[in-house]
Amino acid sequence: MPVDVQTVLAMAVLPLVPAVGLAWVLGWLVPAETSKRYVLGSAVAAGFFAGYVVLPDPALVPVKYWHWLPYLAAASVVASMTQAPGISWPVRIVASGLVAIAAAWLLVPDWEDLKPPRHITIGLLAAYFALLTAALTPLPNRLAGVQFLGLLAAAAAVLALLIALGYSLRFGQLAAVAAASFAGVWLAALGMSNWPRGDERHPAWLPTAIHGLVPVFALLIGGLAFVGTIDPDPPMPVMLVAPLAPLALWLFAAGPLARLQGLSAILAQCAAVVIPLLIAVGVVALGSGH
Amino acid sequence: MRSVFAVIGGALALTALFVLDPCLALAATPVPVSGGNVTLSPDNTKIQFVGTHSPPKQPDPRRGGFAKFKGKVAVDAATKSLKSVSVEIDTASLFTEIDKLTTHLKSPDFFDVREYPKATFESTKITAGEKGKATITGKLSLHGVTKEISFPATAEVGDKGLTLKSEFSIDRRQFDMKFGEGMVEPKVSMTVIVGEKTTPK
Repeated sequence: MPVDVQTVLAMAVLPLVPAVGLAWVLGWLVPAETSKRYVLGSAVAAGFFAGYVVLPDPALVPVKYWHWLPYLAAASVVASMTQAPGISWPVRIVASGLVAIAAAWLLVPDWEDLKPPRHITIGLLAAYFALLTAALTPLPNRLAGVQFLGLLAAAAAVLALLIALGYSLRFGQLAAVAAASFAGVWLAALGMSNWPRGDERHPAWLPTAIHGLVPVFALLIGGLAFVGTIDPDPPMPVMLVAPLAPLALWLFAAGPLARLQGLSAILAQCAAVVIPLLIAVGVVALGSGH
Repeated sequence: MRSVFAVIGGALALTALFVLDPCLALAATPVPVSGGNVTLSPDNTKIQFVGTHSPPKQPDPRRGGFAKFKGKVAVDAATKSLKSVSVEIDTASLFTEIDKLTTHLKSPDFFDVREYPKATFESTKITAGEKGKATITGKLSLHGVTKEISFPATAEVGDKGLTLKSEFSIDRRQFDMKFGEGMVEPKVSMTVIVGEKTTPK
């Protein structure tokens, strides 16, 4: 498949439209406050699946290890239950850990020459998933929530660039589909958050839904970063950096930068996440032409 | 997006062919025959490929090869002709002059060496021609696809052993290597030389 304007549009529009649509529809239809937790994650999973099936050689029955990604996206929506209020921290940690281990077990390939060996790689990947989930979960409460979604989408988009420039256009397209899905729920959330508070359509549940999206980001974008890391020989661990970039927002959750307000806070937060990502792209892009 | 280029697979195919044109015969060092067989390895055989960009870009050919493979050519000592050819290539040993290109060719965009670490060729029929020329037909398994291919080869079986050269092309699309259409030409030129050592890069 050539990388032309038509292809790029297909990679962006096909995932984005169902993601936006499903986020809006579920936002209206799903009644219970707790159930809203699954709205955005479901929209991302649907958008990713829509884009995945139009990619070259889609496999609905996993044959290659990365064919599990759309299923991990769907399963991670269920994993959002571990973020529900009222669940004790020990239970939450154990549940999140089990989800991370199960996801890693599916995604880590069984190559004979895999280094480190598969059981160790599963542990490392599970720890990566768990770290992403645990470290990102508190951030929406401390920062402007909808903006947080935009930065997650930006991190996913940069991961797509890193993979395409550094290794494989096909895997880059896969990550672009995921980025478009996150962009879709960001746009949907932006639209919904602009409804006036007195309007019955105002999504007071949006912070809950954003919380629920964190495990989806951890497993889907973290999983894509793992694929982009492990598939090349030698591995390219720089790919693992992209999903970690939003953790720079912790600078604004505590410490002197937390005092920033309004537009300056938004710009600074965006810069903290995006600038390191752009540096990574620049490093990978050097000499990428051939 | 970076430009992709091509090079591909046929390398495998090569496995088989060879020829010995006069020029090559001069350069190639005969590989000894033992028990009617010639053992192929990177120490005595070269498997190369050349891919080009699609218009409107300049062709800008990219050359590459494989550093690890093993094979066997069975020869008829009486008629000094080829009887069979088989080759197994370690696709992860692919090399080019450009590291980034090597990485890209190994990716799922082309060879997908993680999923398809081996490429093989097994001859099914060899038709002898004049002056050492032959047509080799066989099954090339590459990128998870097995297709029958035929290619010309020129071989010389002498007292010191076998030399062989074959030049042909394969269509990478036949082996489900469709990525980059419009950017990288589907035809990949292959050259196999028995009697020359592989020299990566």
